[in-house]
Parts: sequence; structure tokens; C-alpha cells
Amino acid sequence: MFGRKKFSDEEIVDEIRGGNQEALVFLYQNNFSPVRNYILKNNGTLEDVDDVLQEAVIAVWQNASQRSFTLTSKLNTYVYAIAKNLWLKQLNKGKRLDPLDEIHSNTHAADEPRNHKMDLDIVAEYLEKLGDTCREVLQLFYFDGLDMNAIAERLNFSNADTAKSKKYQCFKRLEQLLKQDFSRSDFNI
Amino acid sequence: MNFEENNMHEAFDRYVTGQMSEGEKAVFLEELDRDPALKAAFDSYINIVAGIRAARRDELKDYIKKNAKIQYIGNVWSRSWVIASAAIVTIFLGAYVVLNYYGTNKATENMVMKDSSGATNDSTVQDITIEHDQVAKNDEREYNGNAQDADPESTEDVTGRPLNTVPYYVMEKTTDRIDIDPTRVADKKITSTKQLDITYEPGDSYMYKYNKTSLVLYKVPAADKKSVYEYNRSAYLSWGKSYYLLKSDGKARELEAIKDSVVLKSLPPVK
Repeated sequence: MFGRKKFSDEEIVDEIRGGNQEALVFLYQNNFSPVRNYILKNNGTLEDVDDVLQEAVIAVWQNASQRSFTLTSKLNTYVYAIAKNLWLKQLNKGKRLDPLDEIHSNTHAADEPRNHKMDLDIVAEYLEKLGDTCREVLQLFYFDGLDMNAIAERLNFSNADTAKSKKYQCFKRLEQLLKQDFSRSDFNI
Repeated sequence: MNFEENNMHEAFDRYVTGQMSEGEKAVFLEELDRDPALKAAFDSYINIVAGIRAARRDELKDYIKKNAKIQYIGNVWSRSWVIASAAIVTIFLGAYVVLNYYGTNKATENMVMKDSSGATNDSTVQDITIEHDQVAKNDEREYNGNAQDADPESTEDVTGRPLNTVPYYVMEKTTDRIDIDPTRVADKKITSTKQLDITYEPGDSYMYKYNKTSLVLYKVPAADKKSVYEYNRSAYLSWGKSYYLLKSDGKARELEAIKDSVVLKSLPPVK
């Protein structure tokens, strides 16, 4: 779909909702120049441009995937604004972007610092063991933010209840596999 | 809030996906503080969710990296700049190759004129109005083989024969009607200049041998000013007040002054 042709913002959002990852590339390429100019003028490097822009288009992907999402500005303006905010946040913190910031902001304040990298890599490894359907159901729900109706539609389940049941079974299966191989002290489980 | 197994998982889902109201969220957080078992279950859940999200994020980033063909040169080049620059370089290289090709290979056998005085079928020169001196050279001098008589820039080749280099002008038709180029002749102008080596031999008559890359002149004084013009794949020696066609077969031929007015009008006037 995404060649040299111009697409309306609505068309791009539709493609995101349909799970077409080419939309990510399209947004990345369309916003590279302005984001690059902004970050390079504000003490950043090309590596920072790449990191921030990837995070920005993925954030747009997550937001636009949800049916409740309404675009109130041009999509490119939206991407640029997110990238700008991410970079300012990073400058203020004086450290690299941490993908876990988002989940921490949604979790209990009493969460203890953990060795995230090891935990995340292990979960990712075991997620692969579950097979494509389970991996997709869990990722579409927990990362892309799709509701059960959208997941059922995307993965050809009969209805939202089936999708919800499948999601629960997959999560429990993943938890069980991790518990089998790791003690609570090894893995915070 | 009932946190039995299934309901607990659903409550966790509602919390991490931001579906709880502020009231529900406050109750949920109070329960976590009050119930260590619930807190442990939530920690386990959060770890797994974080791993699922990280895996998906990495997957999407990998896709972008593989498919977004942004190339960097220094810190200011975007893909469009790279493409534009590549196009410019390609155009210049192409022009260089074409000009080089025409310069070295197109001074071939005359395809238009059968001989130095023959008629032409080149219709492009019909509108040329510049009058040209057709008088054959009459100031020819005997070649005395003495380097002191040669052009100051002349040297000698390995056999001791006088050798000098003269300009070789390539002329092409142009559609540019603004006459700002003094070398222009009607609808033609000099598009490139090269150098041609000439060696000189004594002889009984005025002759030449030409093979595209070098020219041998017999009896012609080395000191005389000369130049060569190429137009329409034919090369012409300018010497004195005349032009001479140079056939490029490498054979020794007599120098014959061109008398055809059409041909002469297509070349710069002799001064």
C-alpha cells in the first residue's frame, strides 16, 4: 500500500488499525527530516533521532490502534509533537529512553526496581514458545491496546468472548512455563 | 473488590490498560498495600506484561529498521538529499562519458563529405551566412627541419622530429540562440577542447597522416599556428588562411584546401 503515493491521515490510521506495519515505516520516513532537525539543534545525535522517532511512531501506532482514538491534528504534527516531548523528557532526565517508563507509570508506586532486561528477555523467549496465535493475542492486547472485538476480528476468532478466553489461557500458560523453570526469587514470580 | 483468580486477572488487565475509574483505581491500590499475596501476584503479572510489551516493541522497531531506508552521510543528509546528490553525480558522470566518447571516437571518417571539395548533405549549415576566406594558403614555406624555426612551445619526439601540441575543438549544433560565445558559428559552438599532438616531417609536398590521436604533417612548418576543429564526425586542420579535411585512416594523403563554401561556413572564420 505504501509506495510513493500520498495518503490521507484517515487512510494511514485505517492501515494501522488493520495491523499493516508499513504504516510505521511511512510515518517514520515522512517525519524523519523535521524530527532530525529538531533533535540535532537540541544537543542530540543521529542515533537519538532514530531512537526517538521510532518510539514516537510506535506510540502513534499504539494510540491509533484503539477504536477510541480520534485524530485532532494532522498525523505528522502528532508524530512530531510526540517526538519532541520524548526528546525533551529525555533531556530533562539526562538518560536514554526507557520503554518501561510507560508501564511503571501505570503500575503500583510500590514496585521495586528489578533487573528488567533479564526478565524481559526471558519473557520474550517463553512468549515465542507459546506459538504465533498466543503471542499475537497477548501482544495485541497488552501492547497494541486492541479490545477483544478487534482482536477477534484481526485473528479470525468467532467473537470477543473467544478472544478473551484465548488471551487468558495464553497468559496463564506463559506464567506456568515461567514458574516451572524459574523460582520466584529468580524471576520475581 | 473480589480478587479471586479469574477476577483478579481481569482487574489487573483493567488497571494496566487504563480502564479503571479513579475510584476503582484507589480501591485497587489499597488492596495491593493491604494484601501481600495480591501484591506478589501483581508483581508477577506486571513482569510478564512488561516482557510481552518489550517483545512487541522490539519487533516493531526491527521492522522499522529493516524497512525505513533512511541513509545518513554526516549528520545532515536525509534520503532525499542522498537521492538528489546521486542524481547530480550520475548526470555529471554521464556527461563526462558522453563528451569523452565523442571527443575520442567521433572524429572518424567523414560521413557527410566524400572528399575535401565534395558536396555536403548536411542541411544544418544551409542558413549560415558568415562569409569565409576561400583563398588557398599562399604563404607556405619550406620546412627546414630546424627546431629554431619551430613554435616556441614545440619540442622533439624520440626520433628528434619536431613535435608540438595544438588545440582540438569539438563543435556541436546548439539551440542556444543567445550569441554570447565568440567561438560560436551560427547554430554551432565549441563544446569541448582537447589537445592533439602533431609531429613534422620533411617532404616534397604538403601531406598528412591522421589516426584520430595523432597527426603527422609533411613539409608544413612547425612554427605556423594551427588548430583542429571537429564537426559532424569530421576533423579539419586550420592552418594559415585555409581549412584542410583530415581523414582518419592513418594513410599519407595530400593536404587539400577546402573550397566548398557550405563546409567553410560551418567552421569558424579564418583570421
